Amino acid sequence: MPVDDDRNGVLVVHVWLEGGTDQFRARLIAPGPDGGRLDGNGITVAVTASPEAVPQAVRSWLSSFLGTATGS
Amino acid sequence: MEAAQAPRVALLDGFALEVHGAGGVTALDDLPRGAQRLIAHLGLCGRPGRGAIAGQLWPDVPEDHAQGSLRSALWRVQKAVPGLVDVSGGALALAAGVRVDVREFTDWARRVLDPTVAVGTGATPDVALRGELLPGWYDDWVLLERERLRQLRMHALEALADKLAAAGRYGEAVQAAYAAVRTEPLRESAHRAVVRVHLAEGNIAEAVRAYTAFRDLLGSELGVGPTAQMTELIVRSYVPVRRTAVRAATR
Repeated sequence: MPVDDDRNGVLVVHVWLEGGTDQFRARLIAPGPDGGRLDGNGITVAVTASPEAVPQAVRSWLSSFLGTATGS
Repeated sequence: MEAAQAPRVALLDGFALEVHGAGGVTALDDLPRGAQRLIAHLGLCGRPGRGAIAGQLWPDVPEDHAQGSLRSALWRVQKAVPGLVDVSGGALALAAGVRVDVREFTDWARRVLDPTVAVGTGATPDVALRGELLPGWYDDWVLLERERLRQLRMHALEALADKLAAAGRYGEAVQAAYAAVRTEPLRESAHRAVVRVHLAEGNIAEAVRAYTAFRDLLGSELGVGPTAQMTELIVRSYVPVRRTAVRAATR
């Protein structure tokens, strides 16, 4: 169901290794402002080839979410 | 329930329910949300118990409240489409014969991924090329299933591209490969499928073009290059006399 924009957030983290190698890839996607599709209308929060960049991107997204949710 | 007259539940590209009546096929697009969620959940989860359903669909309320919401949703479903849901014991399920597009997609994908099953002579079914599961729904039970289906679609489309190319159906093969690319534009295995199809067709220029486009995309988005597996695919397949030119393109 559409998520109310007051207290809920969704962040999808796709991670994969290319071609049976150890080459890491990640894409972080959040629903668009209209609660739209994750692929078509979703917003790519970050793409990265670095595992270390994933938690950074999550923290950044979370900070943004909390700032919005609390109105601070 | 006769298969040809059975209701059809669509969950890919959004919720839809079609039933057969005296006037032909009717789309029931005014079902209450609770009824839609119950039908969708049963379409994905088979025959869960009432307690599990109530807990999944109404996770943030007390159990008795959730059970009440489930009874209400079930009543609305049975009123709108009598016989759609089979109630037996403490479990619920969609009635036998009810068609669900996700189940059709899963069956198709399993056939495609089975190396012993040859590609059929017909066109790629519509269900294989539909969009994501229940867009705009963010329940946990939807999110996890959506990602599972997304992965299944990517792998199936890549396998389909190879099977179609092996059968000499290059036009369909490249369409399947690009459908896999659209699912995740940075996924190299999908781009390798595109390159393999072009090479199988003997279209080296298109293969190199696909390779360089992916290399440029990867460079601009991630600041990295393709894997050695991707580069070798195209270098190995290129005529030796032009090896230098390909190497230049792969730099």
